[in-house]
Amino acid sequence: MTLSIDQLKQIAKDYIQKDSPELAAVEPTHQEETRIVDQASQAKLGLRQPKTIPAKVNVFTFKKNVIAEDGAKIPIVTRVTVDADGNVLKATGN
Amino acid sequence: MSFQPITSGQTLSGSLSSEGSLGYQIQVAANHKLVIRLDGPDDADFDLYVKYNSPVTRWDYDFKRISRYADEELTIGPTQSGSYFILVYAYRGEGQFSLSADIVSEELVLVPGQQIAGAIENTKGACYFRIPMDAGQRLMIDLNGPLAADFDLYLRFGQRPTNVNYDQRSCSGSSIEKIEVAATQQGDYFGMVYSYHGMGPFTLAAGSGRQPSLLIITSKDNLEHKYGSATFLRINEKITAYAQSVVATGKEVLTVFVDESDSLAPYDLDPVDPQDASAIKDLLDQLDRKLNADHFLIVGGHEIIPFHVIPNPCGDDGDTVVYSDNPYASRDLDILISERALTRLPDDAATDGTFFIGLLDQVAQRVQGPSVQAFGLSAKVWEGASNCVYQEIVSGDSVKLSPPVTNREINSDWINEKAYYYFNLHGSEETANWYGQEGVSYPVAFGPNNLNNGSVEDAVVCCEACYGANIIGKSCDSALSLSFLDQKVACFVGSTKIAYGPSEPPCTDADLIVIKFIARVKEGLPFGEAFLKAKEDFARESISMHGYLDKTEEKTLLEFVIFADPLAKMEVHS
Repeated sequence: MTLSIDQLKQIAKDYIQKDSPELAAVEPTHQEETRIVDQASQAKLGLRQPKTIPAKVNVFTFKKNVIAEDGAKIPIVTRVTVDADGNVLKATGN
Repeated sequence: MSFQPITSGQTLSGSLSSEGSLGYQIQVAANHKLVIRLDGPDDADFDLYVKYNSPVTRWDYDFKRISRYADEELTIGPTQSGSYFILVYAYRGEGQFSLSADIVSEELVLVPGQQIAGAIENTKGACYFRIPMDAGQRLMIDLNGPLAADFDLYLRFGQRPTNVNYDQRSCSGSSIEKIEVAATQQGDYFGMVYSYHGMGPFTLAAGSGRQPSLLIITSKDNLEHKYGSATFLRINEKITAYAQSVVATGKEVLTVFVDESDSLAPYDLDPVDPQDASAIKDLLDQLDRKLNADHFLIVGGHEIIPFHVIPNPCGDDGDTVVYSDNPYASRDLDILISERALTRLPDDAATDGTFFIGLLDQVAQRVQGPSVQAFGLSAKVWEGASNCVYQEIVSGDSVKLSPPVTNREINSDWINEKAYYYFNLHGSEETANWYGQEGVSYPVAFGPNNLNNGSVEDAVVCCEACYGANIIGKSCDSALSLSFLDQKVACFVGSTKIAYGPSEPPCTDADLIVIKFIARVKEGLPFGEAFLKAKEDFARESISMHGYLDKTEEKTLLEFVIFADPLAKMEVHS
């Protein structure tokens, strides 16, 4: 099963609705990431594992600025990583 | 699996289907260079694995070359006497390939700071090596051979030595020999390990003989320009006092002004533009190659020794760049994974030098020993993840949450005389404050005023707030990181830009790097080394979790910096 970008975006938005509702109204940006370990980094880390199969994942970034109690502008960002089948692999924010 | 023989100079052809493999083996004498070349299909990804003296598999090997292409080249040297087993594996795709092996009889190259292994296989046999040197260096060569043999060491500048033509030799009657050159000439030194009698393996090490434990770098021009000559002299006195305090512990220290000829002349290096981070990194690389220091300290903030400005891996989060010390800490162009234990003692934006001189005074005193207690404060929305991190600091305790806690409720008893401080709060580029969160409420959770009557000396502070370690153009009033340093904490770890973390475990990104750092500090490592190893631990665990480093993990590696004396460590009184 491979979903369209719009379908994957909706999955990310549904996740945000529950996890970070303050970002629910934000339209995310989209990036593709390739799951690959840089060879130089792998060598430095002494990793002997077989290479990761190159596969792309989709990252949806929800970002807005809010105003804190003292008037300061604070960036609020959450990035949701979704695979081609719509599984949410990771959500991380500030 | 069978292993088909291949000889030097021979090229063999083969064919592989996807995920198939073929084996080869080659006989090699000791102390040569073995070059193995694989030429595969353009649209495939074939890999090379090699193991000495026993069959090789993809999981059991001594050497490997696994680029994303089907053409691979692997050089092994110096070789040991015996068989090298070779595996060609079709990782992706299929097709014809050719495999060649060449055994090259060229001398071994040894550089100061390096140790190589070799072997002599018969009495009166010899092994030759070459050491390229800059002028004016001290060179020490150590040979360590078999107990039952008598190996000798010969050295000659410009051409290979023989038993009768040499500049220096060491013939002790054992196989442990040493040659020292007080001041080298510019060019190649040639050496010979000679077996007077006996055979067996040996190691050969070259050193500069001068290995400062700590290399301090700063900029004279930038310090003088910012503070004026009189204050610069006071700062320089404090740097010297700090260096002397390190020397008093039995370590060697070298202080280098990156823009001063006199400072660099002993190393035959030229001064660089102190505004140019790349030039400073190149200079640091050259100094490291000559001096092989264990620890590195940058003295000064962005105005003195600039951070590297790296394009933000997470390009759409609002930060266009990341301020990072990783390039200074890396020996090569791969800046994600560092090799140097490097920290920074920053100055602030003020030009009177009060903060900076106080900070240098503090590290020179080298005192440690707070209580074992800790204080943790988290935005309420991150309670789960923050408590997961906090368990690494104090098992069985919980972080305080904001809200309900705000900076107005912070009790001095909560924060005084603790060993560790952990903050998982929001941050802003505009103010010094850190903020809590519940829903759409963002109260001020912690600010510089909370440290006014605090006693936080010698503590470790880890902050996950965005911009928690942003010091560019800041003073103690406008950056909590500087406020903590002003209050004499031993170490501050934080992010120069927007930092990431999950709301619930498992811990990733900023949460994970803090966990790894605390664990290494608790092992008793000095802060510089603890931070270096924490980043390695972070990268390994992130890759093990999902198979690669994603963009927020890359950004985390780049943006987290440490402000501390690299040699100091946490010595908690129980």
